[in-house]
Order: sequence, then C-alpha cells, then structure tokens
Amino acid sequence: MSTTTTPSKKTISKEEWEKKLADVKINKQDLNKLVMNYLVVEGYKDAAEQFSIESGLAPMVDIASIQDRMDIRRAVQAGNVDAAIERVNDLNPDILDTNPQLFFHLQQQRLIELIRRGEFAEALDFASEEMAPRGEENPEFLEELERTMALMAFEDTRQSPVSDLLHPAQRQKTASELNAAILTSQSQEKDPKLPSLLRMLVWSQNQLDEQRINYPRIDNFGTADLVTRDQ
Amino acid sequence: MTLAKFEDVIQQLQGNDPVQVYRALKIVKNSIIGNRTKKAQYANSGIIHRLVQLLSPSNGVSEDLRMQAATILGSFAHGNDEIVSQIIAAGAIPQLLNALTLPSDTPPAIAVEQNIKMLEAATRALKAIYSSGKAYKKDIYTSNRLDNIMTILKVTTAAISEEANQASQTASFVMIAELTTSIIARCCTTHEEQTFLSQCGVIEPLVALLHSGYTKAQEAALDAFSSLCRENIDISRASLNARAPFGQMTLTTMLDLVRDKSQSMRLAAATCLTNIYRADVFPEPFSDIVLVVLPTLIKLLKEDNTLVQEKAPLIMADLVKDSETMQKAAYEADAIPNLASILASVSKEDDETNEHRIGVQGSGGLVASKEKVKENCLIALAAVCLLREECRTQAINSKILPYAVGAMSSHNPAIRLAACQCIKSLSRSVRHLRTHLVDAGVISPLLKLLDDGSPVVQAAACGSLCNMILDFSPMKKTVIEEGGLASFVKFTHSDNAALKLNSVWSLKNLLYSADSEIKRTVMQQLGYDYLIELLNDSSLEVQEQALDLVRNLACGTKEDIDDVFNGIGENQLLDILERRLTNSMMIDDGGDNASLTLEPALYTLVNIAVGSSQHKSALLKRPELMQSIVRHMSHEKASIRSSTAWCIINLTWSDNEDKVLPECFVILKDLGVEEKLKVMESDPERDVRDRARTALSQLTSLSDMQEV
Repeated sequence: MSTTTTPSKKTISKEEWEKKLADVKINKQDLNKLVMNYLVVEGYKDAAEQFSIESGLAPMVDIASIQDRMDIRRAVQAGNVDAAIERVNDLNPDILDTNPQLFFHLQQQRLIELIRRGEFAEALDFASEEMAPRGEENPEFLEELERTMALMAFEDTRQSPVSDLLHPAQRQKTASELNAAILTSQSQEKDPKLPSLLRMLVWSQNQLDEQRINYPRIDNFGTADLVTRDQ
Repeated sequence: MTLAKFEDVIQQLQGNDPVQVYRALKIVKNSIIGNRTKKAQYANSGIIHRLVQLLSPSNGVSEDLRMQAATILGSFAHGNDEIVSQIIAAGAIPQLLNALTLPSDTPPAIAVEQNIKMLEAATRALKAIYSSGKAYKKDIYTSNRLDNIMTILKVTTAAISEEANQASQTASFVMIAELTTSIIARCCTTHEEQTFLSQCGVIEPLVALLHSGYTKAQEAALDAFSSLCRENIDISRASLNARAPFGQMTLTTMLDLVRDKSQSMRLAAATCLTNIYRADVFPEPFSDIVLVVLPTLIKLLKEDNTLVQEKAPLIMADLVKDSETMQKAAYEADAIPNLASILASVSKEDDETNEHRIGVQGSGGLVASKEKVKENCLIALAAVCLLREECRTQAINSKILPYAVGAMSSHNPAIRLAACQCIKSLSRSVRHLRTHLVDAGVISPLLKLLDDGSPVVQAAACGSLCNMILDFSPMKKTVIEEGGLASFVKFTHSDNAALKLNSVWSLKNLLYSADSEIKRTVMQQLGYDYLIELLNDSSLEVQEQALDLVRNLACGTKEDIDDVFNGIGENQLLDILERRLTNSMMIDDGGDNASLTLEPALYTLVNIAVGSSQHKSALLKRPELMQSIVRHMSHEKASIRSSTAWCIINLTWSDNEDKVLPECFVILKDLGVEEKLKVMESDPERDVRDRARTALSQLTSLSDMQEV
C-alpha cells in the first residue's frame, strides 16, 4: 500500500471507477423489475404490457387494473366523481369501506363539483344527508365540511378565502389520494422506486463532492455519461 | 336520495325482474360503501334476507347478481355489530361458504380462474363478517368447506408465486389469497383448530405467501401465523423453521418484516413474533425480541395511524404480561414514559363529563378510536407494572396517576375496567400505595365502582381494593367506613362467579392482621351462617378463600379463636377442616383441586393450635383429624409439610397461661410423629428442616417431662 500520497485531494481514474462498477453484479431481472414498477405505478399501461412481453416479467398487477386505475384518476380530474366512485367500488369495495378519510374527501369533491356547477339545492341536500353524519363521526371532517360549505356564501367564489377548493389542484389532490389507495390495495407502493434511486445517486455524488474527491461523475442523467473533471 | 327513491330501490330488489334487481343492487352497493348511515338505513329496511336469498345458486340467479349480493353483504359487515348480527341471523355465512365450492369435474386451477370474481366477492364478504366478534367461527370446519378454502388458497398462492406468471387476473389472485388467509386467521381460535389446519397443510402456502412480495398477502400471512402459533409450541417451532423457496428461514423473514416500511406490516410481524415468543420456542436471551420487536412496538405507539395506535399497546401488553424479563426490558427501553405520554394525549382533550360529545360511540369515529387507545394504554401499563417495583416507580414518575384515576370515572365500561387493572398493578407496591396512590385519591373512585352497572367492572374494582386493604390498616378503616365492607358482603351473594370470588377474597384480605374489632364488624355483617355456606360452596376457589378467611379470623388472640369456635360451632368447624384434610387424600390422584383447600385448612389448624389449652385439646381429641395432619407430613408440597410441623410446634408449645396438655405427648407418640419429624430433618427444603428440628426438640422436652 502506498504511503506517499498527501491527504489533500483524492482522484479516482475513469478506468478504476469503471472496473469497480463492473464488479457490482446487478441482476438483470431486478433492473427489469425497477422499470416495470415505474411503468405500473405511473400508469403507463401500454408500455407495461409491451415491456412485460419483451422482458418476460409479470407486471405484479394485471394490465386491466392499470387501465382501471387510470380511468378512475381521469374521472376525478374531470370532475366526474360519481363515476370514479362506482369504478373504485367495482374494482375493490374495501378501498372506500376501510378509508374513511379518503371517502370523505371524495364526498367533499362531489360537493365541490355540485357547487361549481351552481347546483346549490342539490349541494345542500347532499351536504346534510351524506356528509354531515361523517362530520359527526370525526370533528376534523366537520371543519373541512364547513370550509367547503363556505363556498356557497360568496357571490364570487374566486375572490373568496376558500377559492383554493375550486382550483384544479384540489381535484388533483383528491385524485392522487384515491390513486395511492388503489395502489396500496394492490400491494403496490404509492411511489415508483426509480425516482428515489435517482435521488439517492444525486445525494451520493454530492457527498463525494463535499469530500473533495475527484471521480467520474454523471452530470447528465439522460445519457448517464461518466465525466471526469479536470484538475 | 329522496325517500321515494329509497323505497323504489327496496321494492325493485324484492321483485323478479333480473334487470331491475341488478340495477337496484348497484344503487345499494354504491350508497352503502364507506357510508355508515346508509348501511344502517338499508339494513333496517330488511334487505339482508333478500341478499342472502340471491346468493343461493338454486334460485337460478345469474353469477353477476350473486356476486353483487355477496359484495353488498361484505360492505354491510363493515358497519356496526348489530348489522353483522343481522347478516349472520339471515344465514349468510353458510351461503357464502357454499359459494366457495368448485366444480369437481374441472381441474382446481382452471375452476378458480373461471369463478374468480365470485370467489373474490365471497371471500371478501366472509373476511369482513369474521372480523366481527359477533360471528360464529366454526362453520368452515364442517363438511368439505375447509377443503374448498385450502384448494383456493393453494391455487391462488401457486399462481402468484410463479416468477413469470402472465395471469391476466393477478390482482384478483392476490386478493383471493389474501382474503382466504385472513379468513383462516380469524377462524383459528382453538388448539384443535390450529392442529387441524396445520395437518391440512396450511403452513406451506402461508410460507409462500409470506415471501410473495405482495404486501397485503404478506400481512395476511403474518396474521394467520399469529393465530396458528398462539400458545402452540409445535406449530410455532414448525413455522419458525420453515424455509422460503430461496432457503431463508421464516424467522429471518419475520424479523425483516418487523423493520418494514409499512406500519401495518411492522405491527403484524411484531404480533406474530410476540405470539411465537409466548409459545416459548425462542432460545434465551431473547435478543431479537428485546432489541427488535419491543423497540418496534414502542415506535409504533407513536405512529399517526389509528389502527396501529389502537393495537400496538395491546400487543405490548401480551409480550410483557407473563415475563419479568420483558417487563425489565420494557422498563429499559422507556416503554412506560411513552405509554404515559400517549395516555396523557388522549386524556387531555376529551371532557368525560360532557354529555354532548361529538362522535358516535363504537362507530369507528375519532372519539371512539381515542377511547380505544386510552383503554389499551391502560392495559399495557397494567401489564408492564405487574411484577417489578422499578416499573411502578417509573409509571408514577411519568405522572400516569391523574389519568388512571380519571379513567375510573369514564362513561366507557371498558376504560373503567382497564383503569382498575392499572391501579391494581400499581397497588402491588406497598410503598407507592401508602403515598402516591392514596394522595392521588384512588380509593373513593374505586369504592364508587363497586356500585358500577357492569359486574365485570365491579369485580375488577373489588380485585383492586383487595390489594390495598391487605396490610395497610388506615385503608381497612376507610373501606369499612365508606361502604366498601357492605358492598363486599353484598357481592358474596352475587350470581357472578368472578364478583363473588373477588368479594370473599377482599373480605379475607380485610381480615388479614386485623384487630378484633374489625373482625367482629366484618362478621356481624357477613354472618357466620353464610360463612358456613361459603365454606361449602360449589366453587373450590370460593371454598379456598372462605377457608383463608377463617384462618385470618383465627389468627390473633385466644378470644379471636373463641369467637370463631362460637360463631361456626366448634364441632362444625373441625368437621369441615377434617373433611378438607381427608378429602385431599382421597382425590390425591394428581389433582390440584383438592390441595387448593388443603393448605388453608392446615393453616387454620396451625392458628387454632396456638390458642388456649381448650383449643389445643379440641384438636387432640379428634383422632381422625390428628391422623390426617400426620399423614400430610410427607406431602409432596413443601409448604404443606411445613404447616404440619407448625401444627406440632404449636401443640407442644407452652407458656405461663396455658400448659401443654398431659395427654399430648402420648397421642403424638402413638401417631408416630417423632419418626416422621426425624425424616423431615433431612428434608430438601430448609424451612421444613428448621421447623422439624424445633418440633422435635419441643417433643423431646415433653418426653423428658413425662419421665420426670
């Protein structure tokens, strides 16, 4: 072992780095699983189907259920909450029977859509008949219900302090919550694994940078080229 | 929905037009899922019978209708217990189990695939129904139902375990495997059922599911292992040592899952390992349990997940309740301060006296959940503080007392019960009892609970007071003066076995080391006639406590013994004691039952033998009684042998007032006491050897006196 180097700055050559990379044995099947996980969770149904054929890897869920999930998500995003609820109940009735908070948020979204469409009488009926009992079960729901009902108190809802409820972001939020619950019910993770691995890579490179170590770095994640910086 | 529409739906459902029935079913399904109010509303309209009727294949109902009916029944089962009772009364369970029957002329794998939607709906409904405490859980073991369930479990498990499965219905296969496993977990309640399921080959598919990578199925497998391994050494050992397809031991996998990302998975794995630990198959020093499972449970206490928060304290209680080692480990891992802070957080906001509480009790609302957490934290604290003083000190230093005392006045009987248990554990420390517990005012709420509407709570309050009045005299006075004695006496007449037993127990403790005044007060209220009834009670445990009560009455002055002789009647009392001594020999075929009353009977005799010459003479005059005492000198139990030596010591003891009876030496000699005592001098127990030596030396001095 060499004892002459100074501890100032360590450099790892590209050859050495690539040799180390080559020493790490990664199972092809594991990589395929990562890709499949990404495609399934993000709902790329056709790609998942194609990838399954090419890789010979089971998608962990059937392709049809990916389609169902995407349809349900789109229905909420389009403000068609009733249809989304019926589809979820066909897919797995336990999802809404065992997630009171999610169920309440879907009901809240239904109420928001009624108010958005100006159907105030229906909205009132719906709130008192369907939602008030949930509020009795849980005081936190009651607060949210009151906030939603406040939408009706304003002439111009866009100027109201509760205008955020009418934003597309609110539909997005509800749709994501529902999507996550469906994934959980199918033993899937709520988030794909690939992005968190990428985040880990960025973090590791930053750690090396902080240690003032010179090594072949990946600067472009699209190409994943190893770039050694000049001294 | 308007009332008119609601009634239309009910009517359509009762009709014969399949299209209308189907439409009505869809409306009902989408109305009740997630909605407790609607569930109750529809259940009360009486549609459950119709749904069960639709399930039956003999009615020519289409598969799709049957499936919808099963799904709706399953959703109803997520409602309250009353709805579940309706479902069961309507005969849904056998119909749903019948829906799991596969055609015999088709290979199982194909049959499952062809019936997949129906199987999914039926297993889902069964799991939901069996999750209720109201459900009768023996049906799966009759006729060929378990065969069907095992076939479905094996087929679905095999289908999802294949690496490259291309099944178009993977999601359904996984769910059916999960649901079937959950049904097994819920229906496995006795040792016989555990053994039977294991013989049917349930372990193998469960091990496969545990390693399947499908989280829901893995959790279900852990639940099933928990049920199978509970108090079952053989199955616990077999499960631990079973190996995954890739060779890993199941124990290793379970320990990995205790560290899983998902809270519910961690809880399921911790529950399973707790049950396996309690089955006594782990080698000491239990480092996996102490270093992995216990800390996981403590962390789970604090998770923001209602179900996990509710259950984690109960599992911790299970883990520690019978083990001093685990109670020490829990102390060292700071379980108690954690439990205390959760108890504080769920106690602070609620206003127990507020009649207009938000939330429907027992309906799964937020308030109901907080109450469950409170109850279970109290149960966990009771368990952790059972055996070690340092734990009780830590609990009291963590300021749990105000909350535990407050919980005794909760509107919820389960919380009152848990609070009693917690106070009882803490009161085992005499030091804390005399200071902190008295200061915290535990006595008056406990006395109030003696009048509780629930006999279970009454019995628990009685049990808690029991400890407190044992040898702390100011407490004896308080309990007598504030109506406790009157309640105890009243409960000795109760039909509730636990309450009756605990009340006799309390009276016994009240009389322990009590002065003659207390003894007379107690016996004036209880009455000697009723005490005689208790001495002959049908329950041996009550007999034991009643005998101990007499033992305590007779312990003290000669006047105390006179009171007992006069109260019960000298002959009647000695008859009873003699019977207890002779009975125990007749039934002495290994049964512990008779020896339950033997020891208190012998110690009552020991106390009588302390008394005056008349008292001693009363014993010596009874050859049967004396022979029985001598026969028990070689009893297998050391405490019994020791008590017989005490009898001899007291009979041969003389003081200024009461001389030893002249006939004493001859009687004892003829009974062969001397030889027996000589044997006892080399007894394995030191206490017995010492007593025998004292008795012998007194006997020898008697013999010297005799010769003089």
